[in-house]
Amino acid sequence: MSLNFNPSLMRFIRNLLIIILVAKAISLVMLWYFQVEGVNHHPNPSKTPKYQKYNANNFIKPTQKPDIRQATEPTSQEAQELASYGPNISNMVLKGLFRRKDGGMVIIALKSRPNESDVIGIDDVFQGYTLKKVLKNGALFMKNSQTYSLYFSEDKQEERYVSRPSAQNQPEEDEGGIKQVSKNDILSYAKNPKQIWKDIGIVEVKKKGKILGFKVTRIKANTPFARLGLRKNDLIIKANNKTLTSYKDAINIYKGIDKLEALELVVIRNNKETEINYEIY
Amino acid sequence: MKKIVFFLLYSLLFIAALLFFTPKENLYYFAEEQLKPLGVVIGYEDAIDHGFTLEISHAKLYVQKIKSANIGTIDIAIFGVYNAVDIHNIVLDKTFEQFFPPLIERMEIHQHLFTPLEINALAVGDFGEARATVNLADRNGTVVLTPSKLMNKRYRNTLRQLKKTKEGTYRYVFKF
Repeated sequence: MSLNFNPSLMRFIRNLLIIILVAKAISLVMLWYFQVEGVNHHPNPSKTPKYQKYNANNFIKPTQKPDIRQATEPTSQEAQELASYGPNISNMVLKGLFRRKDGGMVIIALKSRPNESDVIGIDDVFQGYTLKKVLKNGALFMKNSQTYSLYFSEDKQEERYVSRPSAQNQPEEDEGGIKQVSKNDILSYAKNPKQIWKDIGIVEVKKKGKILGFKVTRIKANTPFARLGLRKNDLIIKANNKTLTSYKDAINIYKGIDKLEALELVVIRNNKETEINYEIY
Repeated sequence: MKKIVFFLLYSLLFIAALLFFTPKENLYYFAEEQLKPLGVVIGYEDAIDHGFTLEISHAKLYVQKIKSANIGTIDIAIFGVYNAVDIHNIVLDKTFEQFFPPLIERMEIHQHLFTPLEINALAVGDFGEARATVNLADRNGTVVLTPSKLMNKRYRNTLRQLKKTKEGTYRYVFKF
């Protein structure tokens, strides 16, 4: 019995097999050459104990925490005085303010969306209204050359005193050289980090590809950052005894900032290492 | 003529066989190694070779050791004449949710033979829609973002970093 195959078909199958073999051989060479395992992230568990700042003064004298409720209540006379500046903005609610002689900022929200508050400084615009002045119990805005006022409504009294920063605008410094910072200030930044970048400009400083620290390039006047004692061109190299050598280190501090009770910053200022200590109350 | 047809046919079969047998998983890990010095790590993923394509699932993205996103699936198709990477369900880490809406539903990155030095990308998510073009020859890129209502409402500060166009979209130009 003889088998007859189509010679063209046989040739095609033979060539196909050769092609497959060559392709497989090349893939094996590639497999040998690219003999690598997947890259994984291996976090190094921190062995550093929780940062705690001990101050001998605290053992002798308990920290005097300023009572933020000591702020003066607005009187109807003051409300009338504010209203005299211009019509009141009816669709907004003033949730808090923070005032200095030369500026300040307000926490503001739309009445329709009271939970979505925004923090705005002088000359910032909210819903078309430009903040021009922060007063004792309210704020003045400009829109289309017309002055508008916004003040605390009676039913928002409680909220006002909760969100209002300390009556003292400067962070208090006790005898141990530790500045006291309101937790509300910290929390307002933790909840609204967008505000951080409005108030401060920070860039990393690298040497030979390694981060040496984070440099303050810009700091807005009359903001909590300015009052913290940070200055333009300060190079922040350590926070709570942790050397800042990566964005991860900075982010870790940011992530846990609402739980901190003390903060120690080491900055290089005018080529000198300076330590700034804060107690968060 | 017959010889040319056979030559083309054999060439196509060779390319198809090569694509099929290529150790895509290893090539992917090799690409991952190249990203590592840039501080980009894709970890904890499952890689499945589907013959002509590679599927990566349940990946976590780390940038500069910071956990940045969870990625649902990445489909990688490298055909030479047409190359595509389709990414689905990118959820940004909580750290970034104050700056950007966390969910990116899909991102499609394409490159083809006719414009080999140009990579196009489209991303759709809670932030709206973004189209990007990267020119490898000029080493520059452009992103045009059409923001969603959510983006316009809650992430105005992020949008302020971009240049607004007359059409209401936002443009970001970068060089590398």
